[in-house]
Amino acid sequence: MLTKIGNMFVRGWLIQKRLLCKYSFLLLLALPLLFAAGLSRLAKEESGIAAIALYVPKDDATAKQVEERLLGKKSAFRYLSCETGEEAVALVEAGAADAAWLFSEEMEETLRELAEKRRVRPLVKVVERRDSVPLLLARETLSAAVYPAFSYAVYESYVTQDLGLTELTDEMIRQTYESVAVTGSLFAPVYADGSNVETEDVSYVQAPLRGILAIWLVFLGLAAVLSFMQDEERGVYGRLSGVRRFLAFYGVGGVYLLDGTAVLLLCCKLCGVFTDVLREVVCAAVFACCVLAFVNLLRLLCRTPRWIGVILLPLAAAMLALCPIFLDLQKCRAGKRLLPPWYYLQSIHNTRYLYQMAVYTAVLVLIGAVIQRLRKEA
Amino acid sequence: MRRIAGFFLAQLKRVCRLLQVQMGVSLMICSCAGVLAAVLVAQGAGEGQQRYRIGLVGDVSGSYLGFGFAALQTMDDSRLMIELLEMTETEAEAALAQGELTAVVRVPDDFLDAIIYGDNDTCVTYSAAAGQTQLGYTVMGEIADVASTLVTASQSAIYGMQRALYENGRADRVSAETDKFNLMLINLVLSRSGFSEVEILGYAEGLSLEAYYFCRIVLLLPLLAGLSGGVFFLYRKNALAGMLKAGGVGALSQIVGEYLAYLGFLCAGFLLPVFLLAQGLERALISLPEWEGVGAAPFLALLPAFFMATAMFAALQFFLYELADGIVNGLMLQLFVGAGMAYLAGYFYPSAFFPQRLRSVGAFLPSGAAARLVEGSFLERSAQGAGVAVIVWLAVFLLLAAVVRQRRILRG
Repeated sequence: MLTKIGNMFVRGWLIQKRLLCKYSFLLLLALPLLFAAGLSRLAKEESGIAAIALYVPKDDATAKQVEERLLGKKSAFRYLSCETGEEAVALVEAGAADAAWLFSEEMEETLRELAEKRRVRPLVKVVERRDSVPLLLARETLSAAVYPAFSYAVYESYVTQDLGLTELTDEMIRQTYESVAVTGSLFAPVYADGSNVETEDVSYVQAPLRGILAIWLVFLGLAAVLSFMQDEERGVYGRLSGVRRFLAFYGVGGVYLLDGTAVLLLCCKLCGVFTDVLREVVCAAVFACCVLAFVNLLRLLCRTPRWIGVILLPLAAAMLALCPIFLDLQKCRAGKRLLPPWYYLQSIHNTRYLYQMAVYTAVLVLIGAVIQRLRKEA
Repeated sequence: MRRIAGFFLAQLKRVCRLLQVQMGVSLMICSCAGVLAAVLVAQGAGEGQQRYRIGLVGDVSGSYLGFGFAALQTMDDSRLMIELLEMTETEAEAALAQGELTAVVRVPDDFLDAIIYGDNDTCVTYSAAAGQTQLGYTVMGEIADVASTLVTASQSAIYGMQRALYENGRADRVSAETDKFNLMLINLVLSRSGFSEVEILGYAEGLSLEAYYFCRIVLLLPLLAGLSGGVFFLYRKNALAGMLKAGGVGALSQIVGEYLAYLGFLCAGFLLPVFLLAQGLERALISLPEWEGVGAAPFLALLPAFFMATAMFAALQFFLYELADGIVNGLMLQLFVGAGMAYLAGYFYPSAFFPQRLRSVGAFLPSGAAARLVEGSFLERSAQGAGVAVIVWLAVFLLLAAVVRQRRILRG
């Protein structure tokens, strides 16, 4: 028994040595690491789902206050400060910004007048190329940035006019307000499993990396299939019977995926999308097994390298479209559940999908074994 | 020259033998694209703007909170961008996993009491969908920030008003004034969109989002075509290159001959998708804001730029297969370089989402140069810089491939 296990390790090591002797395989492993490191570095810079050109009059205190509120927090939008309104509109016309927000020259005075009349009237002119959901959200952000100054002005006017407390000075009114002012957020982001989200650490620019690497790992599995098929054609496995050849593929594929999984985990760590060590390692290990069973099934169905070549591009397109990397399609549920990366990406923050991935792996292994058996009988 | 032509013809014959494979790939791609388009149409992507769909978990019926959420869906401007759906935790989790929701918001039972008494110590939690996870959290973070600011600023004003009454000996009026002031603020919050007046310019310059993605998706196919192009390199032998060299066909000539055949091989695979796309545009099954009612003519005018980009991508793929020792590593390089370049050049997310330096890197890459060329052609604008960049990249890849081939020949 021990000799058998020892032999297995020796064979595994020989396959590993063969792989590591190929400089392009090393390049293949190094590229994702370089990509992850580069992306992580570049993603630290300012980015946003829409670019907003801001024109704020320099001598208006309220406008400056609203500007500070907009620029002083981590935002989904990228703000470009402009010296004049014309400059801001020109940026929109040229497509360099999605919208321009031109603050009123007398914002403070207008806001005070509106507060006294309890009316809402335009204080900011918004120029857009075309309305869209992100720009609607941006306008909500703008309204929310204006609202604290406006609600304060309404409070001030209400206290002096409606309550008739005319003896209170501006300073006293402000002090009363500040003594009870409510701060902090009423919302907290959490992952599906209830764990906290570290929104500060990861940008959405880095987030798709895990998905790209998951697809990369499936292709690494397919590379193992092609390599195995080429060796079969050369007669390397000529002396092995059906079942042993079946197991040999798992051995070859396992070595490929072992390297790939290590790179995947390292890339996630480098890019800042790594969560918990145990969770990451378990999910990646189950995913690697799932990929191995999946590519083995494709090997049995396609039979020749040429047919594997035929399915590569459609498979890449299907994984890019159906796995939650860039898109999240509402339909094609069955299609999604056929692809191992879908389970992996879901399982990181939800253990239920980890179990589902394990069950799916077992099903794939079973189907593979049945097909192998049928082939042998035929 | 005659030898090179002979070698090229021999390669073309090989391409003809592989055409059935390429047609198979082409058919599969078209079928996948057709299914995807049908799904997107069924999902309503083509019908105006899509809203953020948010699942609401927690019992909000029969409370002020329920009224508040009903008001959000009927009176508030946020209804134009947010669709709130009440559901159970299990339903929400399943819908989130299936990509039917942008996020799930969980309202704790004592949330309203915490707001009323100003404790604000109980938070509403939200989880974004797995797809575009961080983007979902970014968007939800913005929505949460808006909602939080509106509530806390209103709370501050109300508590300030109450404190002013208490401090000035008018405690008897607190209850009545609170109701009055509260209603006033609710009205003002509901009409907050009036703080801005919107002017829509239309597309004076630049592309609509639909046109942007159209250009990128059209280019994604040739960029990733190296995966199916692997069959062309499947049974390549090093010895043949040495033999050809001995016969007078040098490394560069070999590369040019093989490359042209490979380009023909790729182009043959694109005939069907291009034909179907042109038909879709002609019959108005596919529509772009810039091309409404003009049929397929502008798309056909785009084909020379598309061909140049394809020629450059073919050179890149050729170089990668030359660089990799063996088809297996070649395929992996194709996938990673293709997908990586596509991502950096904004083929999946609009490049405007990226930081400035990342956008500069993306624009410099071959995928970025190709996108600038096709976009320039789309806008009927001069894109000479992009055209030159594409040609330079093409030449660089062919020369590098020749250098690698030369080294291979010398090593035997």
